[in-house]
Amino acid sequence: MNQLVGPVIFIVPGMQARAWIEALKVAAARRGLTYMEDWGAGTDVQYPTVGVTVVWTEILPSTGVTVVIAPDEEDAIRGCASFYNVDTDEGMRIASRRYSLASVLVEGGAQLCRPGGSVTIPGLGEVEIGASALAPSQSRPLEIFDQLPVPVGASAEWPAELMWAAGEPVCALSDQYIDLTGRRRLLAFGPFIMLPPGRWRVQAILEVKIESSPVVLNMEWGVEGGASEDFTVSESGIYRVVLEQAWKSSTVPQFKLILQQAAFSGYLKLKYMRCELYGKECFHALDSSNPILRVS
Amino acid sequence: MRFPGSAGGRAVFENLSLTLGRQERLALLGRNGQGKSTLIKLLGGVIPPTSGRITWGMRPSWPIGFGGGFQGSLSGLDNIRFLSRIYDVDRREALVRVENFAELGIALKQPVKHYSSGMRARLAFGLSLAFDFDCYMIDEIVAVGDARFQQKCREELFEKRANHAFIMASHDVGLVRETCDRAIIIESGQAKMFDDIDEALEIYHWLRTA
Repeated sequence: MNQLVGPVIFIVPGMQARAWIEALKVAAARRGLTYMEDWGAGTDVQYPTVGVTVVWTEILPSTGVTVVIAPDEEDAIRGCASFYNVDTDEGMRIASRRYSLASVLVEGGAQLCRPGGSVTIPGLGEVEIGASALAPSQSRPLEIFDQLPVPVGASAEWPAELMWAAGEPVCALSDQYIDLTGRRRLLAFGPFIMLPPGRWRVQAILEVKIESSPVVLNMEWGVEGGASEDFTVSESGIYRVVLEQAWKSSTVPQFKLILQQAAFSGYLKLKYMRCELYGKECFHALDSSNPILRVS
Repeated sequence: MRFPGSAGGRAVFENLSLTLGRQERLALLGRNGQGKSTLIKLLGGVIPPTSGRITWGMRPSWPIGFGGGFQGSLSGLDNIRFLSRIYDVDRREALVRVENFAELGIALKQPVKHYSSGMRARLAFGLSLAFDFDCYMIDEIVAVGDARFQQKCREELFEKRANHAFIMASHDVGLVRETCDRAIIIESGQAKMFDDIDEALEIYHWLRTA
């Protein structure tokens, strides 16, 4: 193990693990410290460097460690499954290993933090995650299946946290705003939930901040070659975009939000989506006169 | 940087901060009227910033081709002599370089105020290239002179001075892609640095067509 200089943090990841990592980065930057992660590969971290190190390896540091653990067992299992991109069973095994290592560290004198909204880490001070990251999700993304067979009108709210952006869940992005500056690209996609046959409508609520020039977005919904709509946003505001597509057998539709033209500036927050079974018939025409509507 | 006018004037750009390395080639991109030429003039010392500071650790040129510093009553030759003295350059050497580049011949002995715009441009370019600067400020090099003169300018700047830094404001996407490492885009009072020149050009293309 290399010599670690500065605060060392061992995390048993829960559902807010990514928010904690972002908060640690912010706290480190505030103190002028380098943020590092030790994955045991030996290439990501250059020692000795004064900084904040989050240890993911199972080779434990000896002193000066703060252990930050998930609020409870269920959260840890779900958090590990999400963080390591594995199923729940594997998530449970990973959680057990992390708990076990954390136990050894605490026995050896490491400070233990079971976070609420904030923790105090020696050498780093108070670190807190935002209220939005802390609040448990009230959504039930599988509410659609409350009745079987799924009736017309069944719907569910899909929070932005279910979506992915640039290889990470949207919730990992700072304050959930996506910086639009840059090339045309895929901004968010997901949520990989299988839906039965029928005509499905998705409503996305977006907050767009325009700083100078307009931005051109595209939204896609469905399976390959599904519904697609371009829209230009010239004014900051909250927008609702509605798309429909039908399919004849159970499928995993994808929602995609695309920056259709390179943008000089602007920010976007995907607030949430609502998915609804709109009809049992399988045709494609969108039954909405206002697919894109500014709502505020 | 603000332009004068009512209510304190219009900000051309605010919070612009950049560092330029030696031999680095920076493009300034933006639609007409966004402040590219103003920034070149600021960096080239032609106009002072309203606020902030420009610190050079190398010797910057005035904007290449800038003729605003000529004394119209003096001949081309006298202007060359005057600038040689200010920049502490051997005047004979400067004269040879300007003559070779500008190809003005006997006209160099005439007062600059009698020059055509093309002749003034040739003299200005010749003078700009007669002195060895570490960083050249270029504002639309292709806008002046005929095709042969433009080609000559390109060779002098981008080939013979390949190891010098430059900051170039241009609408010529091909030239920017070919010659620049990074770009700043100026738009609606904001200036943003892009390390990927292709990304900057893609955004600039969209701004022009939007």
